[in-house]
Amino acid sequence: MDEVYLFVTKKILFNLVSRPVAWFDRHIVDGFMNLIARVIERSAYMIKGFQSGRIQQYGYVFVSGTIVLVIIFIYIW
Amino acid sequence: MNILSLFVLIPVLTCIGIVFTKNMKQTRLVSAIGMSIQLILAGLLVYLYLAERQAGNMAEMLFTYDALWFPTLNIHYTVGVDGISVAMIALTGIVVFAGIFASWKMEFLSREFFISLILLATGVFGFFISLDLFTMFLFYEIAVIPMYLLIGIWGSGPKEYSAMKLTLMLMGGSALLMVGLLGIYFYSAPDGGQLTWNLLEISKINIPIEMQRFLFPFTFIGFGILGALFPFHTWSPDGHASAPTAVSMLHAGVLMKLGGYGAFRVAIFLMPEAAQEQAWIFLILTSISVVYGAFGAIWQKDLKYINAYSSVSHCGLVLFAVLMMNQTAFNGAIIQMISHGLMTALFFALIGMIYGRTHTRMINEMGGLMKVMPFLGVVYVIAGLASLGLPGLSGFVAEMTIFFGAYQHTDTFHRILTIMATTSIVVTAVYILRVVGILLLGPIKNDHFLHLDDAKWYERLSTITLVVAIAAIGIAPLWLSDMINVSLAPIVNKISMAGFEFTSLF
Repeated sequence: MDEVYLFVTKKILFNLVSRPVAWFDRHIVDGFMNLIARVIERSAYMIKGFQSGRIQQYGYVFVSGTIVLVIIFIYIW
Repeated sequence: MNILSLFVLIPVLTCIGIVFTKNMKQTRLVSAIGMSIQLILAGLLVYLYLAERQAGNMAEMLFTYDALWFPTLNIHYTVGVDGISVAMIALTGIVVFAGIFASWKMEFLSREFFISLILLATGVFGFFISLDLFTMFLFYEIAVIPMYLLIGIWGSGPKEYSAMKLTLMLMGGSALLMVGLLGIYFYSAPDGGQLTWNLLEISKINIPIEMQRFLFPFTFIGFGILGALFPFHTWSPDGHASAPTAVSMLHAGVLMKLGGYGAFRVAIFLMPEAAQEQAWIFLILTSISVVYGAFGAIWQKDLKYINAYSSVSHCGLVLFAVLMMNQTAFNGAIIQMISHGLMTALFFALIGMIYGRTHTRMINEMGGLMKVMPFLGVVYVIAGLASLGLPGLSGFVAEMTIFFGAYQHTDTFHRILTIMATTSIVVTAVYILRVVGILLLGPIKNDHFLHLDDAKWYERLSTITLVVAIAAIGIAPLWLSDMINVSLAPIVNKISMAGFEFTSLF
């Protein structure tokens, strides 16, 4: 009977249920939350170059944006 | 002055008092005096509340007070309590009091620590007395923000990571909640009258069902994140493990209850039709929380992680009961919030005290502690027994009531989930008794442990307060469940109008 008890608790409950649950929680559930944080961090890193402080660059973006809008309004609208 | 406003005023005055203190001794003395007054006031509130009800005052909310503070959006400072909020205020009073004494030796930046801690308590007290949804949300935020500083500055281990994770996840919850609450506000006057944030006024109207379907998940998940709803619970283990003792006590003991209380008082009470339709999704998630938290706890090696996973399981049971939506289950949910609040605060207090002596929280590095610190050992066993639901202690009353309530649903879906949730009792017993065996019994593993001393007077005061409350609920639960039951009637009526059949054992 002792062997059965030990098999059920140690082998099944601890090793086959509890251990995968703990692993799943740390790596999959929590890992997904950390992934969201990392994606936000990466995208912030990627777009931070847009704010360069260089007036010429802002000027190019401004002018090209205006041209795109004008084209849209005249030909497509 | 309204007695309820004192619950916000006294902590604020205590914080101001702390600013003028000169050293740690003065700081903790002022904090202890302030929070002792608060505890006495909470006791007085329970007495006054029961006396009013005895005298035949059957108003939905007692001790109400109303003042307009932002006319443009019709935001009021409206306070009032019923049996449920009185019980939650009493819980908060006890846990904060015990928390102050558990941090008696806090030397590093003690003034700032106690101010942040008491500010957090102010938010919690304010939340429980508010009847205006906006003011309630405001106090909710006041409670969440100091947590970042408390963990980030006074924490241990990867404290910056944990503090940031906890705050961001709870803030994410707040954002969802804000969407839900704003939606409720904008649909609070379907006939074109004045829009309102007042909980009682909104409960008298029916929010259109199409809007309820949209707003209910926002509100429920918003509160659910704070109540450790799977899969949004991952802030809990890291946050609790890194937080200093009193902060873990307050966070698991009281702050997580804001989630359960809000889900019940706001989400389900104001949007019962949507709750009825969508309950099955959240019932599955909460059932997972209950079992998953318990199994997760077995494999942990760190005492705080064990307790954090155990909290996920027990708080899951609160949300599980709330979603069962009958009077008995609601009653069980409230008792479980109080029971778990006291029990987990006691656990975290003890873990802090043991860690302060052994300098480790890893269970495999400890053993035989009962011989060197018998008082702490015995109290740990009591906390454990309450957690696994031993009759005579609060956990039994709470869990029995919940399972009675859950089993009143006769359909297969609810039955299966109830049986699933019930298995958590056995798993809880496994991890609690295993820890007690390894930690307290057997040979002493480290010679250094032989020189350790038992609890000091302030530690005894802190733990005994909690043990007395746990035993009081366990031995005489009916005064509490009666107090809650009277206040459940209007809520149950509102939900039954949404097409429910209600049955109750009480």
